[in-house]
Amino acid sequence: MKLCRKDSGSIALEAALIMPLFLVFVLSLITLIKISIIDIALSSAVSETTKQIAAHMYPVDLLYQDYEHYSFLIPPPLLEVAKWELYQRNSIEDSLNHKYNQALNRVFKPLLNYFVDVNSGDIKKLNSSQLTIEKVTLPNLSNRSRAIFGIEAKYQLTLPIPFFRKIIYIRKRSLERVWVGA
Amino acid sequence: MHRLINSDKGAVSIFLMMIISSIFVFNVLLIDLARVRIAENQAENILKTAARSSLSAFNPELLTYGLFGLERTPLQGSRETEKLLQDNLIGHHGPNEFVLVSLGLKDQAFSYNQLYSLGNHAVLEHQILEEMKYKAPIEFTRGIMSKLTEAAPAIKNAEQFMQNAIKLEALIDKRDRNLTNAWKQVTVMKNEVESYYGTYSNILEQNTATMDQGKLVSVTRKAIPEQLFIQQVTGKIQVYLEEAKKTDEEIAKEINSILRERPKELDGTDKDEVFKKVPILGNAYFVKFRIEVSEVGSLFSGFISRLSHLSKDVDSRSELIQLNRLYYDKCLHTFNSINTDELKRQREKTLLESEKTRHLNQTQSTIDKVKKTSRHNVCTYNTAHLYEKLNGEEGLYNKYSQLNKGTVDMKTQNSTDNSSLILGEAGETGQRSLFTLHYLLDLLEKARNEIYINEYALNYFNYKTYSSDLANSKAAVTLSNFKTHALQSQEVEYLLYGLESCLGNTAAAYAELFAIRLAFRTAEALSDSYSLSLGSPIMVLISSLTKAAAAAYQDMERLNKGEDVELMNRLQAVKMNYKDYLKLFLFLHSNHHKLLARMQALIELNTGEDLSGKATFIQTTAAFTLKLWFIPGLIKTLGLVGFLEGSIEQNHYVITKSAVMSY
Repeated sequence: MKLCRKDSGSIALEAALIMPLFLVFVLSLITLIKISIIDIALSSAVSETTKQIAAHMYPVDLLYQDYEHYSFLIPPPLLEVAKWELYQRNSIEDSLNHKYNQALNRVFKPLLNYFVDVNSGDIKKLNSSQLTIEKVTLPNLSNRSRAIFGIEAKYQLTLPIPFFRKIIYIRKRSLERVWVGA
Repeated sequence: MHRLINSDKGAVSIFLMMIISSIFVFNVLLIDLARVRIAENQAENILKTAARSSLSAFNPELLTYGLFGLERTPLQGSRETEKLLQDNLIGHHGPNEFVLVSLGLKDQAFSYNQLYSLGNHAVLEHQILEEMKYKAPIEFTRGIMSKLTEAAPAIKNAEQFMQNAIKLEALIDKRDRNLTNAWKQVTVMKNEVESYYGTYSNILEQNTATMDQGKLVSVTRKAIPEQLFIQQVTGKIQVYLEEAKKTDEEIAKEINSILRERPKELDGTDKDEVFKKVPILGNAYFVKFRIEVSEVGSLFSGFISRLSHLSKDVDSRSELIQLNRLYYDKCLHTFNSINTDELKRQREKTLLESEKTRHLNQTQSTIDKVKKTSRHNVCTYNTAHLYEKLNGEEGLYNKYSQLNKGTVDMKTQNSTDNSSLILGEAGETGQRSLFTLHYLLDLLEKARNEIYINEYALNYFNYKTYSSDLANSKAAVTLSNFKTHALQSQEVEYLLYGLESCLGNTAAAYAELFAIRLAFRTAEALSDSYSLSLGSPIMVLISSLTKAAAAAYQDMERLNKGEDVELMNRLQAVKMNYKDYLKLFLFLHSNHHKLLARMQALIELNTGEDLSGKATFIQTTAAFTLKLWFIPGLIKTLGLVGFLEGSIEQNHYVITKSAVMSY
C-alpha cells in the first residue's frame, strides 16, 4: 500500500502509459506518408508507361499491318511490344496462366521500371523487386473500338511497425486508347 | 477543489494529454489533406488520359494529308470518354490491398464538347504549319529566293531599260509627228507658190502697157488673200517646228539623264551606246529650217506689196518679174533642201517600222504557238463533273469559303487576285512579265507562313509534271498518294487559279510560266543586244523580245517534260523546274483564304470527308468524389476550402476538373 502512496516513479508510469500511444501516432504518420509517396510514384509510373505506349502505337499498328516493311523504324523496347502484339494471340491464349504472368512481367516490367526511374529523380521511391504487373490490356488493332492499352501494377509494401509484420498491396491501373486513329 | 488545482500531481499526464490530442488533430488533418492533394493529382491525370484517348480516334483518311480531325460524333465521343474515365477508377479492392485514395465519379457532372472543325481556316492553317514545321524543306525555298536574287540585277536593269526605251519612243514619235506635219505644210506652200509663180509670170509677161486699169486692180486685189494664205502656212510651219524643237530638246535631256543615272558598275556591256545612237536633230537644224521658210514668206510678201504698185512703167515690171523669180527660187531651194533630209528620215522610219512589225509578228507567232501547245496537256479525260463538285454553286469551294467568311480580314479581301497573265499583244506581254518579276522579287522578302502553306500544297497535291518528278524522286514523300486523287496532274494548278475546268487551270499556269520565262529571256537577250545598232532603244527591246520568245518557247518544252531549266544562260548553275515555278506562282497569288478553301475542297473531293464535321479540339469536365476519412467538418470550419480547390459535400470531397486538348 505504501507503494501506492509514493509518488516517486509516477512520471515513468505516465510515460509508459502514454508513450506507446504517442509512438503509434508518430509511426502511423510516417507510414501514411510513405504510402502516399508510393501511391503517387506508382500511379505516375503506370500512367506514364501507358501514355508512352499508347502514343507510340502508330508504328506498331503499321507493323501489325506490314511487319517486314517497318520493323527498322521501331526502337528496340517497342519492337518487343510489337512482336508481342503480333504473336500474342497464337502463343499465349493456349499457354498456362503463370506463364502468361511471367511473360507479362518480362515484357512490360522493364518499361515500367524505366518510368519509375525517370520519375523518381534522385531518391528511389519504388523498389523494382516489390513491383509486379498484374494485368495488361492489349489493344485489339483489328477492332478499333477496343484499341485500348492498359497496365495494372501492384506494389508490395511491408509496414514499418515493430513486432508486427503486416504486408499491404497498393494497386494502380491506367487505361488509354492507343493513338492509331478511328 | 482548491487542493486539486493547486496540487501538481498528474501534471505530466495532463501535459501529455494536451500534447497528444493536438498531435492527433494535426495528424488527422494532415492525412486528409495529403489524400485530397493526391486525389486532385490523380483526377487530373485520369481526365487528361481520357481526353487524350478521345483525341486518339482521329480520321485515318485525313492523316494522309497530315491533318488530324476527330472521327467521332459528340455523343460517341462523350460516351467513350466517360467509359474510359470509369474504367480508370479502381472500384473493387483485393485482399490485403490498401487504398489510400479511392476516387468515384460524380453523377451528372460529366460534360464533353467538341469544338473547332477542320473547316475553319485558322485551325487548318495551324495544323498545316505544325505539319510543315518539320517537313518543309525551307532551305529549298530559300534556295529559290537566292537563285532569283542572283538574277535580280539583270531583271532590274532590263526593266529600267524598258521604261526608258518606252519613254524615249513616245518622245521620238511626237517629234516625228511634228516634223511630218511641218513637212506637209512645206509641200502645201511649195505647191501654192508654184501656182502663184505660174500665174504671175503669165501676167507679167503680157505687156502691162496694153492692160486696162480694171484688170490690174483685180490682179492686185486677188494678191491680198494669197499673201495671207502663205503667211498662214508659214505660221503653221513655225508652230510645228517649234513643237518639234521642244521635243527634240526633251529627248536630248532625257538621254542625258539616262546616261547620268546609269551606275557604271552594271554589267560589262555598254548600254549607253543604244541611247547615244538616238538621233538628235539639234538647234541648228530647226533654225535653218525656220529661217528658210520665213524667207520664202517675206520674199513673197515683198513681191505682193510691190505688185500693188504695179503700173505701166516698164522698169517696175522687170523688177516685179525679178522679184517673182526670187521667191519662187527660194521656195524651191528650201523645199529641195528639206526634202532630202525629210526623205532620209521617212525612209529610216519606214524601215524601222517594218522591222518592228516583223519582230512583233514573229513574237506573236511564238506566243500563238505557246497558246496552242498549252492546249495539249493533261486534260485527257472528263473532269467536268469533278469541277462541278468543286466550283459549282453548291460546290465545296463555296461551302468552305462561306464557312470562313467572317474571318477573312479586310486586308486579304482587298488584295487583288492578280490571276494569270493572259497572253495578249506581243509587246505588252513582255512588258507585263518583267513587271511581274519585279513584284515577285519584292514579295519573296516578305514571305512568312506562306512558305509553309505553299510547301504543303506542293507536297500533298499533284501537278502537271508530278509523275516525272516521282520517277526522278524529286517529289516529296508523303502519305498522300497522288495517283488515287480524283483530279490527276492538275491539283496545284487548281489551287492557284481556281478556274472551272482542267483546261483553264493548266493553261493559266502554262501562260504564266511562259510569261516568267519570257521575262528572264528578255533580260538576257537585252544584255546581249545593247550594243547593237538598231536605230532606236525600242527596237532593241522588240528584237530582244523576239529572241526571248523563241528561247522561252524552248524552255517551255523542257519544263513540260519535267526537266530543270537554267534561269538564264549566264546563270547555268541556277536551275528551276516546273514545280519550282509553281512554288513561285503560289507566292505571287498569295490569297490565303482562297488557297485554304480550295485545299479543303480538294481534300473533301479526294477523301469524301466533310472537314467541317471534323473537330480538332475537345473540352471535357468531370467531378470526382473522395470520401474523407476523418473530420470533413474540421476541414470546412478551418476554412481550408478556399485553400483547396474542391468543395465538401456531406463527408465527400468533390474535385471538379476540366481538360482542354487539341491536335
